[in-house]
Amino acid sequence: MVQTVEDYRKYLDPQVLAHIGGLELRARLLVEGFISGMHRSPAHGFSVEFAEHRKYSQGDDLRFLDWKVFGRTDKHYIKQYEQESNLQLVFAVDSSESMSYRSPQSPWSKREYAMTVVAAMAYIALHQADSVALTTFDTRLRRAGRASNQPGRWKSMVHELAATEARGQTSFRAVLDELAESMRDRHLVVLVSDFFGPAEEIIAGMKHLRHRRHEPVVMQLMDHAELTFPFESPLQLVGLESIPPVSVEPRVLRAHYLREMRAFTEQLRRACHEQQCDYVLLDTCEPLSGALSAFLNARSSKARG
Amino acid sequence: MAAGGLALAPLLIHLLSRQGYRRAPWAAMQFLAAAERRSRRRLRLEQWLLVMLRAMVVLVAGLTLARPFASGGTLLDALGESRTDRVIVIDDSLSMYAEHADGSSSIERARRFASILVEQAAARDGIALVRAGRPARALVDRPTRDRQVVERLLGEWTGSSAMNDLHDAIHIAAQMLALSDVPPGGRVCYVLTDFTRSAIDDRAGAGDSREPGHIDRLVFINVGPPQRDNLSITGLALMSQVVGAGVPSRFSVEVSNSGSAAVEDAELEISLDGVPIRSMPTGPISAGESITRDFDAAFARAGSHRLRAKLTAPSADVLPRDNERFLAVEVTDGVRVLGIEETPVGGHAYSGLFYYAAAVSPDTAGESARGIAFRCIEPRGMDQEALDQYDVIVVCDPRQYAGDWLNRIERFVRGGGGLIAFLGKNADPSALGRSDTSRAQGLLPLVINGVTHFDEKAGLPRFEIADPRDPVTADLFGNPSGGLQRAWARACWRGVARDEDRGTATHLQLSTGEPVAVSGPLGRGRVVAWLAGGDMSWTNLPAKPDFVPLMLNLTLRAAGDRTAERNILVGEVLRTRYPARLARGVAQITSPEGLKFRSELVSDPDGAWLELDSLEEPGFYAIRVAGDRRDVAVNVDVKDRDLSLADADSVRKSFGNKVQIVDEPEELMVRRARSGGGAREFARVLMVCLLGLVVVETLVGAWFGGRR
Repeated sequence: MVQTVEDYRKYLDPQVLAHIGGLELRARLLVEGFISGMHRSPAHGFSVEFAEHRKYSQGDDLRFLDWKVFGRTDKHYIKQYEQESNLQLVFAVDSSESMSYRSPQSPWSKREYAMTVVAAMAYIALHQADSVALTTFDTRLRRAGRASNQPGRWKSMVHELAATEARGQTSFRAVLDELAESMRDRHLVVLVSDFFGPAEEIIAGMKHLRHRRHEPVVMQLMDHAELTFPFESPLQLVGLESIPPVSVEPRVLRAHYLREMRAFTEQLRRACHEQQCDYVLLDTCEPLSGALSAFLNARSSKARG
Repeated sequence: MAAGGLALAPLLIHLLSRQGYRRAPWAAMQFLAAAERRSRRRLRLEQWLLVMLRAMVVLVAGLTLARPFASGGTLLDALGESRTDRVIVIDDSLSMYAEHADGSSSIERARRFASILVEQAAARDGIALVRAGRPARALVDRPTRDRQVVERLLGEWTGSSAMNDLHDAIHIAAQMLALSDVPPGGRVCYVLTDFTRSAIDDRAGAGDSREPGHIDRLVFINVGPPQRDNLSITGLALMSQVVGAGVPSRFSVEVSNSGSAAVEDAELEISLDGVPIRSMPTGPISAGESITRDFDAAFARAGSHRLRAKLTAPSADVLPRDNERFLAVEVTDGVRVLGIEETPVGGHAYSGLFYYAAAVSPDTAGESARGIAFRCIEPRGMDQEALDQYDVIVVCDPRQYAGDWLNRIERFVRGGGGLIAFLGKNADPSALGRSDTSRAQGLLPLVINGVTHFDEKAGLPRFEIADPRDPVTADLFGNPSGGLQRAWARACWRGVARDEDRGTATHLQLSTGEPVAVSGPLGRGRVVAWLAGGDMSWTNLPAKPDFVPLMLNLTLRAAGDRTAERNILVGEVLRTRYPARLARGVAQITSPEGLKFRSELVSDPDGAWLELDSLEEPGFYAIRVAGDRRDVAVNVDVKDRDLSLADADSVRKSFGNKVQIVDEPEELMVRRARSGGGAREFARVLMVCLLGLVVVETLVGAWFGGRR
């Protein structure tokens, strides 16, 4: 069955994507949908070495149309080039228990969202010849490995992601310190987490990363319920990281909660800005294109830099 | 207490509902904890405010439903003050209709004051009502907390116009309170009366007061008027026998002045069947005195007639309800008399019933112009006679006859018939004392002790009228031409009347004191004993002109005074006789106000009877059973007409030293009005508070979150 551009773009919708089994397929479809929706090739400008032709699709830049082929065959083909890059990416994914939260309105948990978006980002990166490494963390780093762009890297990474279990609490200071110290070369560090922890520790960890000349990209994942606190009737909320339950009155609490939450995210955003890091706040109910756009922007800027 | 307990319900619900909160996982606990810290104080304040509001809603709702009635101590009472059972005795006798200066009556004031007592009683107090108009009776079985029942009874209360019976009423209250389970000191009896002497005076006699037991407090409240002059019609009576239609009959009306000043200008108006027939001044009546005015009235037709006397009293008369008197008069269209004598009347000039027959029915072949049809038979002919065709049986010189004749005569009399027994020289009085059922007493109203023969040399005794007002002899009194008082008796049977209290009356006697004509009741009938013989063997009275009216009147007396049973007092039981054929009939009664109600006739071996004990409105009642129509007059009991105020000593003497007397209830009412209390106002305030609280709770609840 032939998939059209519109068909692929539907995979940006988390409601659709969440119903697709298998992280690998989900990531591929996501990337296809994402790329199909862009008005230019993500590979543009990164290399001069020709890689292959592909059929022109709506939105492709006409500058890369191969006019010679058009003259010979009267068909539109786009020239694609191999990327030449020495970017080394590390995807640091939070695997603490809080990432397993999923509200009834959300199609998936934060962990599932993180896995999908990381797999997609890795897919893009590997296709552009970047070296990719995956690490998960809770109170400390759980998986750590050197960045690689070998052909089987993506699949192994996807398997690692799928095998990750959400458990325990998070200790950002220790994790970020360990991460900063574990990488000798300059890395683009994509931090995917809900960052539920002391802001001071997170900021101190990022400073450490920056001190080690790494480029952190902060992707803060939050469930839609965590962003809006939509409850109406009184209820008892049970903490996921062994935190005692709290009886709450949503109507009274909502404003204070949102104020606290926004203050925290704003503090993170400001700290990232000060550290010249990219920061993006992701809603698990929103399309994943935002995450990928943020990633590509960060990657391109780092690659040019 | 229950409302107080219920007020805790919202708190419990609040605490329990916290345990039952829906549980949900949550990751962003760090924001939650901070937010909770910031909102904790406000949340707690809101929750307590809501709990308090809801508790108040429940509390006020409970109080509203409990309807505590005391304005001052209501809340305390409702929350557990000791319980009290209160019996309110309301004197609703005739005197309580006395009017006050403001136009209200004592009975209205009593009801109003009773309502206040009910209102001010705590919700948990029992209330009972007892009416003191005779017959005194409780309106509820026992003190009840159902205020609606008590208020309804008070609202529907109409006075009895009867004689008061405070003693029995208080006795009933004491019996009710004896069954009460309230703590000691909690049994209270209020007596709302006008303190008339007739109500208060000790029936048991001086120094023998009836201090009621089981009553912790006995409070007498005076609701009577300060001005107590009263002029009343105390009697309207038939003075002569009503012979029949068209024959004038004499009536008497009595007016009494119970006030403290003489009355000069009262006017009497007499009406017959609604048409005024006579108007006459009473003349001066001294304080405490009575006057009598006689008048004649003729009835155009046989049947039931209504005679009414109305008194136009001076303005000082505070009790207009006793200014009217009603008399129902039954005019008969004939009396059927059966004579029983051994010797037939025809042709025998000296037979015992010859003179009687000549007196009541000159034409022995049929009904005479005097309205009496007389027929005579021998005793042995009774077996073929249907006695119920007759109104009166006359026997002359009875003896021990064979057969069942005496039992038949007794059944006839007890069923409502009349018997006249002429006892002469040939009589055997014991012949009338050996029936199956009356052997001990006999049929006669007196005990016969033999014959008295008078000595002619010493002078034979003359006849005398025993009571000038006796309807049987009233026509003859003071009429020398009639010859009654010149007639003598040579002998007579010596008799002693059995029981004067039970209606036995001596109509005629000799100057020696020997009774000659005595009547008395037997069952529902009447027996007249004539002790001087029916012929002229012992007396020359049959030759005198007065003998004729005397025999007529005695016959009518024996036939029964239907007028008597048609005139009763308020509170008395009406008992009127009907033919046996109407035994299963239904009477339709129309009250003086035009209200109609029904009552079934009761039957017994003697016939059918209508019994009514609910005729409490003075006036004429029309009773129809099949084609039979008759009137009944119900009059107020004027024994209670004297409104003189009894003093406190009399009250204590009659009811004991526990009595507390309240002479100025108006002052208490004013004080209560000033205090702004009152159950209705309180209930209204409670309702407004409740509505206000509900509205505030709803608004606050919505403002605070709605679903908490």
